[in-house]
Amino acid sequence: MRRWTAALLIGPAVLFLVGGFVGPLTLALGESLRGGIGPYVRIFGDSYYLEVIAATLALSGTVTLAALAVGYPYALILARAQGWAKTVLLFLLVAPLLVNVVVRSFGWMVIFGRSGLVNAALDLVGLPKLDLLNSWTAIGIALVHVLLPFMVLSIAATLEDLDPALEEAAATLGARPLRRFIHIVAPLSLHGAVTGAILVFALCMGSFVTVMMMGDNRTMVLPLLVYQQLSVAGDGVFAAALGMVLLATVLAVFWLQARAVRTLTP
Amino acid sequence: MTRGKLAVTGLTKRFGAHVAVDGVDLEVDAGSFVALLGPSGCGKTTLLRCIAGLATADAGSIRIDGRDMSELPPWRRSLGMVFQSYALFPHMTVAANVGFGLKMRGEVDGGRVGRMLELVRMSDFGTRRPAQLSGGQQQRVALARALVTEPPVLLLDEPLSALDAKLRLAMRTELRELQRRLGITTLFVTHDQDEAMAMADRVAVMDQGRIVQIADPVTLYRKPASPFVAEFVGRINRLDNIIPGIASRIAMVRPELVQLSAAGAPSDGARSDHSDAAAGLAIDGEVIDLVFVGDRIEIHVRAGDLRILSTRQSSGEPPPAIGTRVRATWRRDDLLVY
Amino acid sequence: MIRRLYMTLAGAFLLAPLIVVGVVAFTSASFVSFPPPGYSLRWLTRVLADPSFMRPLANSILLGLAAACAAAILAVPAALALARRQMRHAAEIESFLLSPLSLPALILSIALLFYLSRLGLGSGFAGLFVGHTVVVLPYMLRTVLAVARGVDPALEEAAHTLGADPWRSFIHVTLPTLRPGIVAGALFAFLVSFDEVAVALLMSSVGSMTLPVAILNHVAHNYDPAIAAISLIKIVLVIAVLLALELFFGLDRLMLSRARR
Repeated sequence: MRRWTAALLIGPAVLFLVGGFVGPLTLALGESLRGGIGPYVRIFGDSYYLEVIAATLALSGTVTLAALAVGYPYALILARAQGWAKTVLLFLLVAPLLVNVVVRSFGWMVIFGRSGLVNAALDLVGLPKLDLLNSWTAIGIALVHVLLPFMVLSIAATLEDLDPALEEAAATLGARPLRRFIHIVAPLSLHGAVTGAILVFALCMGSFVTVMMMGDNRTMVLPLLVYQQLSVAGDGVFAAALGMVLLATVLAVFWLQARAVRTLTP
Repeated sequence: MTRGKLAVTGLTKRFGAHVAVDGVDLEVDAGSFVALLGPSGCGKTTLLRCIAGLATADAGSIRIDGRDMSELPPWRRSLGMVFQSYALFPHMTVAANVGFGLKMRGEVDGGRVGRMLELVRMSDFGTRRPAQLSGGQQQRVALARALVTEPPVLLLDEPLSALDAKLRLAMRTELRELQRRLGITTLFVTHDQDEAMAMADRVAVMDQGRIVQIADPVTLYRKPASPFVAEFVGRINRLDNIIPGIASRIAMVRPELVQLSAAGAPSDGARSDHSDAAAGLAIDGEVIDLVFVGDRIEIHVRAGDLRILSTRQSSGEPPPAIGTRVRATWRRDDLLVY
Repeated sequence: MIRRLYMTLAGAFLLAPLIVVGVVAFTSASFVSFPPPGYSLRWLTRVLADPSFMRPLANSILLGLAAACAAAILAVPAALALARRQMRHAAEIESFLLSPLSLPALILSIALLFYLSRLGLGSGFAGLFVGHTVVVLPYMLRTVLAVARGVDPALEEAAHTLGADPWRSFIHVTLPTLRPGIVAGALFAFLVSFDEVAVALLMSSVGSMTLPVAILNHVAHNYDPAIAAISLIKIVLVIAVLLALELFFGLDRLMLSRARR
C-alpha cells in the first residue's frame, strides 16, 4: 500500500476526532481560563473541593482493588473453562455490562432500599432495618458491579494467551500449584491486571450516574460536582475548570500507572 | 548405570470414547535412549505426558527404579522434561529459568546453574531473556533447565521439530553426545523416522495407541514386525499379488535390494528368466523417472499396475535412461512377507 | 468446592440487580418493594403505552444506528491502514484513535456542549450524534482491527496475481473477510450508544431525549415500578442482541483478544 493510500484511509477518522474530540477539549480548557486562573484558585483554595477530590480518588482506588480481588479468580476460571461452561461464564459477565448503568443502579437501589431485598432479609431474621442507601458502601458495591467486567476481560485476555506448557514445565520442575501461580501465572498476567486496573480506575473517576442515584450530598464525587455546577448552578466556566481538574487527575493516574508497569514488567 | 530404569505396564488413557493409549508396556533400561516413533495422533505424546504426570492414566503403572510413580503429581516425580515449544518462562532470565527447578526444591545453587549452562555452551547468555535467543539456543536452555536437578529420566517431546533442517541435524548429534556423557535414561517422542533411527538405542513404533514393535534401528529396518512398521520406517515396494502361493498375503521388498538389468538379458542366477518371473522374483517394466538425491539415485519403474522403486549408489554404474525397458529382480530371502 | 462457592456468589452478584429489576417489573403494587406483594402486568402495559418512554426508546435506537454507521464508515478504512503497519507512527495514530476510551465521557460531554454552542449547533440530535460517534468509534476500531490483523495479507496478494485490481480485491476478498468484525463492531457500537448516559444527559433536549436519560429523569422525580418495567423491556432488547451476537459469531471470539488455537 502506498503512503498516500494509507493517509486517505486513515485521514477521515483522524480528522473527525481532531474536530469532535481534541477541538472541544481545547475549547473547554480555554473556556475555563477565560476569566483568568480564578476558578482554579477557588478549587485548590477551598477544603471542600479538595475533600471531594480526595473522596473521588479514595472511592476509585477502593473500587479498583475490590474489582481486582473479585475479578481475578473469575478471569482465571473463565480462561480455563471449555465449551458451554465458557459461554455461560461470559454471558453472566457480559449481560450486566450491556445493561444500562441507570438500570443497574436502579436494581441496587431496590436491593439496598428501605423496603428492599437486604432489609426484607434482615426483617426475616428479626434484625432492625438499615439505611444502606446513601452510603459509600452501597455506591462502592454498585460501582464494582458496573466495572467488574472490564477488569475480568482484561485479565482473562492475558491468561488466554498464556501457553499451558509453561505451567506444565513448572510442574515437571517441582512447582506445586500455589507456587506455579506465584512464579508463573501471576507475573505473566500482571500486564492484564494493570490494564484492567487502569481501565476500572479511569471509568470509576468519571462515574457520576450511580453516585447521583444512590448517594446524597454527603457522598459527593468530582464528576457529579461538575455535572451539578453545569446543570443546577449553571456556572459553565467553573464546571469547565472542575472538568479540567478531573481530566488532569485521570491523566496523572495514567502516567503513574504507566511508570509502574514499566518497572514491574521488563 | 544403575539409576533410572523406567517401566511402564498396562498403561491406558482414554479421552471420552477415544482410547489414546491402549495398554502400553514399555521398559527403558537405565542409561539408554529410546525413541517413541509414530504418526501424529498415535498416542506417543499422550504416553509421554502420562509418564510425566501431566495427564492421568486410566489404568496401568509407571515405575522408576521399582518405585511406583502412578499416583504422584508431576511436581513430585522429579523427571526432566523438554517441551515441543520449549516452554521457557518469558519473564525470567536464562539463569533463572535453569535455576527454577533448584529453587522449587529449596536449593539455590548458582554453581550448579553455571555448570549446566557451560554443559550446553550457553555460559555467556545467563542474563538474557528467552525472547533474545535463537531457536537452537532456546532448545539448549530448555535442556539445561530439565537436567539441572539431575533427574533419573529425561523426557523429550519432539524437541527438534521447531528447528530448521540444518540445525536439527546438528542438534541430533549434540543431544545424543550429551545423553551419552551424562548416561541419563532418555525417552524421546518424534514423528520423524530418520531422527528416531539416527539417535535411539531402541525405537518403539506406536500405532493407534499401541506399541507395535520395539527394537534397535537395524532390526526395525530389516525385520519390521508388520506392514505398518515396514511402510512407516524407510521406504518399501509392495509386491502384492505377484508372488505365487502367497497371493492372499502381503509381500514387500526394500528399494536398495531391487536389482535392475536390461529386459530380456539373462539374470545372474542359474535359473532362467521365465522361472524367476514365475516365482515372483522378477518383473519387467519401463523406467519412468530418475531422481538424483546426492549420494543415491532413485529409479522409478512402472510394471503394469505396479510401481517399483530401486535405489543405488550414485557413484556406481550410471542408471538406465528414462523409457528403457528393464527387468527388476530381488532375492527370495530379501522379501518381507506378512 | 471453593471454586463452586465462588462462582455461585459471583454469579449471584452479577445477576442480582438485573433479576431484582425483572421481578419488580411484574409487581401489582403501586410502589417499589422487594419481594413484591403480588404480581401483575399493569406496569408493563402502562409503560408500553406511555409516549414519555416510547419516544425516547425510538430516539435511542435511531441514535445508536446512526452512530454505529458513522463509526463503521470512519473505522473500517482506518483499521485497514493500521493493520498493514506500513505507515509511519502507526502505533501513535492507533492510540490516538482509541484515546476517547480512557477519557471520562462527562468531560467530553461538557467540552462538546461549549463547542457545539460556539458552532451554533446547540444541543439536540446533532450534538448527540457527534458525541456518540466519538464515544463508539474506539469500540468499532478495536473490533475491526482485531479481525484485520488476523487476515493473511497473502489473500489480497493472491487476488492481485489472479487479476483483481485493488478495488475489486477489496470488494471480493478484503471486505468479506472483515465482515464478522464489522458486524460485531457495529453491534457493539450500537449497544454502547444505546447505553450511554453522560453525553446524552447534557446534550439531549426534550425532543431528542434518549431512553437512559428519560429513565434517569423519571427516577429523580418518582421512585415507582414504571422504571423497573421500562428497564426490563430494555434488558430484553439488549439480551436479544447479545444472543444474536453469540449465535452468529461466538462471544468468546469477540470479547477475548485472541481465541486459542
